[in-house]
Amino acid sequence: MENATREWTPSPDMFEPVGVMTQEADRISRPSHTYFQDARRRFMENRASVAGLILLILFVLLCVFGPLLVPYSYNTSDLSSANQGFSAQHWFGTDELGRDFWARVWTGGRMSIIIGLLAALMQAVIGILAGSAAGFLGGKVDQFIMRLVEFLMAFPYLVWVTLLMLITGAGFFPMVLALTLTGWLSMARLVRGQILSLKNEDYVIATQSLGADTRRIILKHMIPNTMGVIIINMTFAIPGAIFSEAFLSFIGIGIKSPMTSWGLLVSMGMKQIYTYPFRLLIPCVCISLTMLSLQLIGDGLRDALDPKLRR
Amino acid sequence: MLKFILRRTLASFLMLFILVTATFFVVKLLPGSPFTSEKMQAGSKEILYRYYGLDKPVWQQYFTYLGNLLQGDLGVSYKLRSVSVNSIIASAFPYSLDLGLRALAFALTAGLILGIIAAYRRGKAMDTLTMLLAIIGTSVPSFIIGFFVQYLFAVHLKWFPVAQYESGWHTVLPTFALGLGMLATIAKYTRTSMLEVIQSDFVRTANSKGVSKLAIVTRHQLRNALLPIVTLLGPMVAMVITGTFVVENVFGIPGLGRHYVTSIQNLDYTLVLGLTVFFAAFLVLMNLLVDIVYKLIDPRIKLE
Amino acid sequence: MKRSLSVLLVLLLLLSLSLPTAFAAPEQKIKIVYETEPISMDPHVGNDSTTSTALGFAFQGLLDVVNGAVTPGMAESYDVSEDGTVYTFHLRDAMWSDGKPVTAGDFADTWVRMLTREDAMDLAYLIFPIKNAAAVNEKTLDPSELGVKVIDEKTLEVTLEGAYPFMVTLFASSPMYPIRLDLVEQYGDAYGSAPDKMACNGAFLFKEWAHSDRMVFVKNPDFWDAGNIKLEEISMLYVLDGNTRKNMYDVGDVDFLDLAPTPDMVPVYQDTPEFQFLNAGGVQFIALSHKGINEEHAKITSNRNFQMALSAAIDREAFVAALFPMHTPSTTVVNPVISDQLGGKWGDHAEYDLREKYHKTKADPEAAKAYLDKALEELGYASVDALPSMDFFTTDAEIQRTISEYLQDVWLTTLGVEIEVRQLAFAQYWENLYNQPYDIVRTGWGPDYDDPFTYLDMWDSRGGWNKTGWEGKEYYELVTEANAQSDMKTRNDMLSRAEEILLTEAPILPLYMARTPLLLRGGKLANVGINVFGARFDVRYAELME
Repeated sequence: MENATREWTPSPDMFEPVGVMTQEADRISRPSHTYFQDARRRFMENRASVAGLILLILFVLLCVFGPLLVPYSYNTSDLSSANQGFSAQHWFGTDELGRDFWARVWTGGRMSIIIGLLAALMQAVIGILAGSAAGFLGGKVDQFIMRLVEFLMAFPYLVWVTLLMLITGAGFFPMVLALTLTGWLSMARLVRGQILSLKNEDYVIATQSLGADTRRIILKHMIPNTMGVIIINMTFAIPGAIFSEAFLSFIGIGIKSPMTSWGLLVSMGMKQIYTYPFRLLIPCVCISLTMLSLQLIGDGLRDALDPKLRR
Repeated sequence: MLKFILRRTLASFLMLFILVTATFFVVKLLPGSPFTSEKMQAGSKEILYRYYGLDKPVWQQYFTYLGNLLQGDLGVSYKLRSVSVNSIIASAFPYSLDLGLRALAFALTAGLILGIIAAYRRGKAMDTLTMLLAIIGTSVPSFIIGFFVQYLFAVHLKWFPVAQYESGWHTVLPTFALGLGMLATIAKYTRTSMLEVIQSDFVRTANSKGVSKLAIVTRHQLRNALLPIVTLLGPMVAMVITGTFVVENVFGIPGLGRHYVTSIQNLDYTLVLGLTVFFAAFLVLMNLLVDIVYKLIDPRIKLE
Repeated sequence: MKRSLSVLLVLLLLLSLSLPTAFAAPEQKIKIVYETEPISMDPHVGNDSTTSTALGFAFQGLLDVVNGAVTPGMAESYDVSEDGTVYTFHLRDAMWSDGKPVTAGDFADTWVRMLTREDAMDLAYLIFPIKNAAAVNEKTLDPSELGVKVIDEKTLEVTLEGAYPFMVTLFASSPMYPIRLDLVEQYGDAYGSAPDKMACNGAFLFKEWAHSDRMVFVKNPDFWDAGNIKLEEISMLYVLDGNTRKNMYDVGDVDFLDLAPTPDMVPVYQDTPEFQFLNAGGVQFIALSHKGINEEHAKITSNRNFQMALSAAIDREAFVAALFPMHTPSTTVVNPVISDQLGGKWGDHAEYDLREKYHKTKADPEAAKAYLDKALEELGYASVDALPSMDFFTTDAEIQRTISEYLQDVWLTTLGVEIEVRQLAFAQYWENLYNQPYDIVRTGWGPDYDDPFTYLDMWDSRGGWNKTGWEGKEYYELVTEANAQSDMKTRNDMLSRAEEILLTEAPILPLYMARTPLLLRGGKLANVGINVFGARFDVRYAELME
């Protein structure tokens, strides 16, 4: 308000030429960023997401190298040293068969993360194929695929997964298969929706009328613009699959012995919560923190990849 | 509108029919038999198969089942001999319905309020707290949350009963345990869509026109922010009301949840089928309702 | 003012709710909790422990078992013919819950129905000791030929195939409880599915059945022994989750907790006064199929040295101590707590003690390797690496995963023998055991009646259980002829010989004998009976003390 009342008279000596050359007049002052450069920058500015990323990297490193740090195998039992607490020999103690719990936790982590990744990846592949087929081709194909998705969604999830697991027999591949077959639906819907809305975007229509061929439209516009949605959905699909694995283990249809997973360790730990609470706590914290980190990353990615939030 | 509802209903029936057919044949693929038990005698399986008509060709069993289904008869459970699937669902469903509605009410109220507050206080402590709650609510396996809630409030503090479903007092913990996950999801979605709405042009217009703050929130923002929640709510309601295994298991509630797991493990074909039909019918109904509600709150959507 | 008054009222209300009823005499109502509910209240459908317990409240057979001893039931007294094959029961004047008298005909009809019904007959084999029962069951004889004769309304004569000494306990067991045929006709398939669709004759009346939740029984004032029944009400609750059951017990919601499904909780209570072990007579073992999943596997699984190699590699002592603090390692077939029919227990006889004789409690890796080398030589394999991975299946219970993983590891590290573990849901498990090819199975058996025979005749492949393909001529002769003996000493000698054959020839590797850990509300619940079959623990005559 002070400014408004102050007396101020402009005089020519207050100004000087900037000295811009005419051929540089349309240069943009900021360096140009590609979509992904921009997204990465915005992702890195999000502290929570970066923390999630660091946490996830830490867990992945522990799962990869953790079992190698101790001289014990996750499945070698030694009844004479059963049910031990934390010690220099056994960092996380031993379980009821005397197996080193550190080795078990990180070997189980490998399994859980692999199941999560693989299931999410396969869900994505099927979902993208079905969704883009529906979105691009439209008509009968679209009708058919969308009816199928709706139909599969009406199945009680639990019944569906358990049925699949019982028919194929418990194990690693049946589990990935069951999770894939039940999990691709949302991806298909998302991709289809995205493609349908992109098809009608002004700039796509503009490119089209300017004579761009379909290949160019798909490569330059459709794929980059759907990638965001796909990546975000995948970061949520991985924890979803890890959770489902834990739940299936909880109801008794896990992967085959002697392999273990976080879900199996948690469900075993539930039984021992009053005697050896750490056997529940450790895998439970692992699952929860992995879930947490993936969700933080997912949130960060969504904010970063959403074109509407682009500054 | 009426024409739309009619068309959708017809389509739903068609879908249910396909679903029943698919489940019927998938269930028949299961290895094992519902009648094998520990101390079984040679020949008694065959006798039971004959008694329940399982010795007939599969297509014949299928038509018998369809015929009974049309009359509303879901058959007899093979595990709990002499108890009909209708009566199992009829006795278990009220528990799941009651618990589900309570949890929904809790999650919806608390979730919406938290989501709106978080959106308005974006970046402030309340926002961070809500988002933290949302992330915890979706990061910890539900059986751990259930156990923890039970241990803390019932065993340790003794404020509430441990399990069973006898009085209003008994419903508090399971409602909380079941609602927490939904609350987290609802709060998160509400916050996101509120943020979008707050920044939108029509809110800015209303603001500049001098519409009161309360009117803006209720008439413009909430109404539009609710759309994604309604979509989310359809399957959520169906899922929660038709029984949830974990919470019912932890709190010893005789709802439908356990049957989804045990019926398959027992190869109780009729119960598996009955539950699938029941669940699917519910989900289809909920989706229909969602479409109608959508039409009511969003004038942009025309129902064909 | 008004507000503070209502706050005060609410506080008072809360206070009154939380006050213990300190001055009243204990109300004779108890709550007991189980994992799953009974299959049916029709006595012929199931005889698992939970079902037998519920049936035991509502029904009584001709005889009864109270705390392991046979006592009179619906029959005031009975006579046995000299050769032990004809029993004459004299029924007391007892009433069904709908006021009709309990007659000899109720029993006779019941057993005929059990043998001939079309919808559920898993338990029919139990009454095969009755003359012609097996033939009636197979429909080769008319039901009128069954060795059961109604002399008059209160007298029943039962003729047996032989002098089965365990029949007295069988007459007390739940599958031989009477039912009312007129009500069966009235309600059809729904008989026994709800309290109003059946009639009871036991110490308690069946009042309520809320499925998957609870059953409620109230004292039957017309029960002949009602004077000795102290409890007014028994609620049987069904809660699937083990931690929840424990929490309910801890806060005092239930007065009894069976820890068998949750062995991990034993150390929590082991040293408290409310903790008890109950020896329920269960035996757990590994069986190998002589048929294998294919011909090559069949040669391996039926090789005696291979079987012994697997057995010698297992450290039963350490394994049981680590996993099941309440169980005992086992190296025999017959559980020593079972009756010897001479007034004592099987375990009292040093001459029948086969422990450590063939299988060992402690692992002996050297012996195991020696057995394996011999087996490899006999089978013509150059080394253990040439052996195929063996198929092993068990149930999907979590504890079974741990057991499997132990066996998998110990066989691999000691012997180099690989197994592929399959965990199957219950319905698939039994189907696989009875009707599908397999190599190795982990399984168990609980006694149906109080006699060593219950453990021995299950390996008779002509009956229902043994599908391993193993057959033993001498063993068949022994189990067939043992029950024709009227001298119990001779019979026991024969049974012991049969057990020895099973241990030396049959493809069975004993693992452990199961004991059930129980929690009984500290000192308050007295007179709880304990049985080795049927209702493993019996609260009918129990009483709540101060």
